[in-house]
Amino acid sequence: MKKAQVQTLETIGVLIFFFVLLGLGMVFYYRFQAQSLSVEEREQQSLMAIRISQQISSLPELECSKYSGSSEFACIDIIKLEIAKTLIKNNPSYYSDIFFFSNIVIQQVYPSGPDILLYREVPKEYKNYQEEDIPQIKIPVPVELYDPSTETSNYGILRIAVYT
Amino acid sequence: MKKCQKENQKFSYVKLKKVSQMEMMGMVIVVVLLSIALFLVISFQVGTKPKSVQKEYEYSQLASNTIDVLLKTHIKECKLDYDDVLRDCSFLKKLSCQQIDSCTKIQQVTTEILKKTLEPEYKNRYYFTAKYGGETKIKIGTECQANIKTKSFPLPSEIGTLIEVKLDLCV
Repeated sequence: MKKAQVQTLETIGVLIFFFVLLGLGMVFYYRFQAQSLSVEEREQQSLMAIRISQQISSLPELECSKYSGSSEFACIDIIKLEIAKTLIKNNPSYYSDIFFFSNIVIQQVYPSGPDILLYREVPKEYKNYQEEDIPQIKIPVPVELYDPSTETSNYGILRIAVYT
Repeated sequence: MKKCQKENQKFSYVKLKKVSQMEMMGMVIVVVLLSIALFLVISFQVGTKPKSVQKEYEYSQLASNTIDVLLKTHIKECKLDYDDVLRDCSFLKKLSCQQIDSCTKIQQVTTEILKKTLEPEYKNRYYFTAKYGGETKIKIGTECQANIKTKSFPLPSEIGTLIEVKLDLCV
């Protein structure tokens, strides 16, 4: 009887130990999965920022048409830009499907010029926050600011900030 | 008979003790093996840093677009684009941009542009050069020691030779 009891206790001990190990393993696995999910989310938001930067460069409302009508990548027509600003402001629902929650600014670097806010849509939960306090992913893209009237280009930076 | 039974009992007790010791050893070995495996998995996962798509894209397009846009930038004082002023600096040396020679003007413009675009994020971790005939005409920033993202642009000159414009980002 005693031998049987000892063996039963032994079996129970092994089972308890096994379940403790299993529990620890599940805790580690859960933490690891949660971390990789947040990394994946961040990657997706980065991809969105990249997609927006490429879309802006090829928007017909902004892209340059030089010479025989061929467009150039990373080139913004500054005359179209003035009209595009108003167009984007007057059609928020259309452009919010393209730009989502983001802040798009064109900065004229050389020669120095004023920054031009092209689009800004902040998520509801950050409406009362300062710009620096809103979590965002930033991508700067050097762009050519082409003036078709003088056929000259200035150096600009397209600053895209996607709110996360 | 009694002595025999006692000896049998003693023998089975010793045998039982040895068996339980062996079982415990076995359990210890299993735990040790599991711990080693877990340690290896965790260290492998922690050790490999996942590449950020955003950073990779930023480095590659920043170096590339910076030079592309720079070469097309119009310099008002010289009434010419950057690439033409650079050609003059490389071998013609005839241009005067409001009493400033082409090389000085190119150096000024490039420094101003790179300061506003790369300096905020890269501090002094970039290196811009323009070389002609093995000679460095323009040099801005600090040479990278390791881990470079580089973009090189060969600019053709009128006489058929090449001016090499290069931007290294130290990542």
